[in-house]
Amino acid sequence: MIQLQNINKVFTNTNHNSFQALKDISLAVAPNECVLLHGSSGSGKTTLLHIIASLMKPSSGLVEVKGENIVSLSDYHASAYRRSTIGYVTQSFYLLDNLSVEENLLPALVLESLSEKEMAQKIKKALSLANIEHKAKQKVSTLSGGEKQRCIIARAIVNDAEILLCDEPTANLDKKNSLFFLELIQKLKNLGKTILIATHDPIFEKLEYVDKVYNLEGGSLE
Amino acid sequence: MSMLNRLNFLLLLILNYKRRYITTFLLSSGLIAILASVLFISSSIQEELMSTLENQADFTVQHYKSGHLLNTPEKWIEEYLDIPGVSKVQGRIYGTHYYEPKEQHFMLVGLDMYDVQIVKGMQKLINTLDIEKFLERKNMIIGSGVKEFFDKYHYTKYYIFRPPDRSKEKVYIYKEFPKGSDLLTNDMIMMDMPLARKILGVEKGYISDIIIELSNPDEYQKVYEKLIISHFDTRIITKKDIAKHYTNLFNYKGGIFMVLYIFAIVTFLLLLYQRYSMVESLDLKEIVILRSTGWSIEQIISFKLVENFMIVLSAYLVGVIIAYIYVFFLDAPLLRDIFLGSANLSIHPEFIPYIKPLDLLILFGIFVLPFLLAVVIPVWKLCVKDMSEMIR
Amino acid sequence: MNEILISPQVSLELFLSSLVLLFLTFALYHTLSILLRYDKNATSALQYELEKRSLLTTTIIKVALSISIFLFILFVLSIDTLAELIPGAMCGAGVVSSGSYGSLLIALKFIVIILALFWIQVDYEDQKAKGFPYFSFKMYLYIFLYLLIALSWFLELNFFMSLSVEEPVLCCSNLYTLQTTTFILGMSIEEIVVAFYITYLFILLASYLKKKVFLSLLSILFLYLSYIAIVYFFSTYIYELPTHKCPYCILAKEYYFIGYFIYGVLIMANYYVLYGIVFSFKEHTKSKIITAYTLFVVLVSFKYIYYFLSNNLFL
Repeated sequence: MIQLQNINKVFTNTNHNSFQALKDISLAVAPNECVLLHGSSGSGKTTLLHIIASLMKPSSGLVEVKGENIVSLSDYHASAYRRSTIGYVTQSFYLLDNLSVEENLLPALVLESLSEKEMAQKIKKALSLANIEHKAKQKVSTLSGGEKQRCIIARAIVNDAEILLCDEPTANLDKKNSLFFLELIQKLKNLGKTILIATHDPIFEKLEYVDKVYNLEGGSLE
Repeated sequence: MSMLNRLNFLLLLILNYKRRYITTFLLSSGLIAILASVLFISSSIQEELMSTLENQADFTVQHYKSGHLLNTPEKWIEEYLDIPGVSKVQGRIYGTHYYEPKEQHFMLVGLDMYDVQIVKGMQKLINTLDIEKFLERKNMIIGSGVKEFFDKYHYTKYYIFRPPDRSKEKVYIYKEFPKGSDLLTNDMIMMDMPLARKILGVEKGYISDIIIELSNPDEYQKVYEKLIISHFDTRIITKKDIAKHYTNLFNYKGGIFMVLYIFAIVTFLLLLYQRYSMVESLDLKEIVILRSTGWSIEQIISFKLVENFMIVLSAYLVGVIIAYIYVFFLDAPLLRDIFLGSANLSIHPEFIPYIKPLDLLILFGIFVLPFLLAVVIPVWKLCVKDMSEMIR
Repeated sequence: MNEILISPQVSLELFLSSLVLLFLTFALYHTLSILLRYDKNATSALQYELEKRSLLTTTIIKVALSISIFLFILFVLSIDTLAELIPGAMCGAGVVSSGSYGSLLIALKFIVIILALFWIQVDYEDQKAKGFPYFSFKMYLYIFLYLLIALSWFLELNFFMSLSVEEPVLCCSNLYTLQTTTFILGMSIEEIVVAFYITYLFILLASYLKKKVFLSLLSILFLYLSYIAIVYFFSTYIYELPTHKCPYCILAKEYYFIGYFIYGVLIMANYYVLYGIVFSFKEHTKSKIITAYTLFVVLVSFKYIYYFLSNNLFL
């Protein structure tokens, strides 16, 4: 499903100082696998996820998703790939606070040529799966942390993406909501999704449905 | 379908995040309202003048010698009547009367009440008069500006003119010009021709100028040529000359427009600076959401440009509506004096609701389009920010 | 100050076209710097940075070119209203003839509109396709377009400055008289009209058979024949006056602004030809070309045929 070969990423700032965030990373994720990217803050997990989501290009190396080299894609095609294949769960609650829960799912759907009815059906299904359907009409600003997280997950799965990328999904959640998140991930894996989770939360240790764990430290895999 | 979905989503954002756009919207609509008011007043006055022009004579002949305007010999009227294509020729007597104590000018016009007037506005006025009653004694009809002046200095029933021969002429105020003709009659005094001749000191056998009406407009060029060669010491003013003069008058006022436009440009540069010097966290959040859900940079740029366009377009529409109400319902207090506050008497016109499509196009072109162009760079800068900087 | 230059429509036209040129010059600078650094074999990261930069350029160009289309319409409206200020001019024809390079300016603006629409389409195709196949073509086309726009701006400034409100000018009935005008190969107007229809039929054939070179030559010839046929023949039927020959009066509201439709369809027809030639007639281009040209011929011929059917004679 996902194949990374010799990925390097070097950031250069305006003072021409460079910093290597990723060093020669190679990994593979099979379809329907749940893979953990384990590492402390600043180890390069987020950068790696951005590269897999094609939000960023590596300085060198190859990224193949479903057999297609996504590195050489133009922004237009990379975005189309992201739209159809990737569901991204961000660490912070990137939501539009003045809109309702169901309205927050619209950005993932408006670029498709869907009718209003089709969009409503997809939204309903995603909200139901994320167990936040009962809050559909409520403004996001009134939700709790856990509910906001579920809203983000609903947005990540509303386009029926096969791959789910989660960046520190439990960082802002209490234990109860973190456990709920784990249940949700298991449910999504059972539905056939391929899941990649970047985290340093110990709650993910020794989970049955986690197929692989990669340890990332200082930009390199251990 | 996708375009419609995007538009709906954009409207949703605009309606739910009004605070984000309020400063831009208010500044823009205020600016447009001012500019539009200026254009509307100008067009309205121009239109009114042009429509009065319709009723003017085709040619006006003046006696011009060595760069001086002289009284025109009355005998030329007979000569002009012989020109084929000419249907009517009339002599006019008019001039300014100067009220020295208050340094005020009045336009004195003398008409032969029993003659059919070429200038239809004047004929309409005469039709409202009982001519015999009017001519019973020395009467005059005055404009609203003149009336206001006379009332102020207590000339309520009559006024005593002092002709050049040092005599006195006591002339009674018969009535005021009807409302709606203010622009041209505001500082006008109309009386019987012999009386005007006496007061203005125009000697017998002469008149101020001659006006000519054509029976067939196609003869225009031929008659014009004949008028030129009839006497070499004449100045011939055509209706088209007057129309051009009015147009230029308002294009001179266009100089004022240029100042206003520069003011507009400066203001909206400040607007742009205000809009984009501090990138709101909401803008960044929005970009992160759109990028992570599969929007390309180009799609986001288009989205933001359309967003800006809609804000400024709605400000344009609101500004135009405010200007319309201000000019045509409230008669543009303060602004109207720029156009009508001549050195002479005050005017209280009602502006005829008239808007040239070109004016609206000019407004659109001077504000909305440059704004859109100028906003491209800040929008692009926002949209191409590195994701690693934005997502944490 | 020159009365023409301070009239609101002309001052706006010059202000906006100067602003557009300024932004296009900025875009040109970036285009050149991108072209110099462009390397198909460079790393994806570098390509991506270049791609992001080029997005600024293409966005500026698209917005500026869209404004240029608005400016073209404003220009047409302006020259018509300027007729009131210039003695002897009854419509835009007199104004255009009295200014320096007036006809060249109009022709240039016409070509710029077609190329501007085409550039926007090329950019869209380039984004959609994988690997930016039209990137270099797009950039070079822009440089060419920029030069035309700069020339157009210069001519326009010259044109407005050369107009005089003192010197009388000829109007369309004198400008477009058959007595003093000669056409290509010494043909008469009737022969031109026949050639017009024949060329149209050949265009249909060339489009159907997808013959690029043939089609491009025919479309250029057709442009010339259309102009002559409209001015000296078809317009007289629209005005219903044999002595009234004018390419501008058909834009007036007395004739239901039919001129905008006629010239608009002609612009679109030429745009489709360009598209078909560069993109090898993909996606129904052939039928679009045929439809546009047919619509154009119907629009110009309609009044002529209608007049004959109503009155049983020609003008």
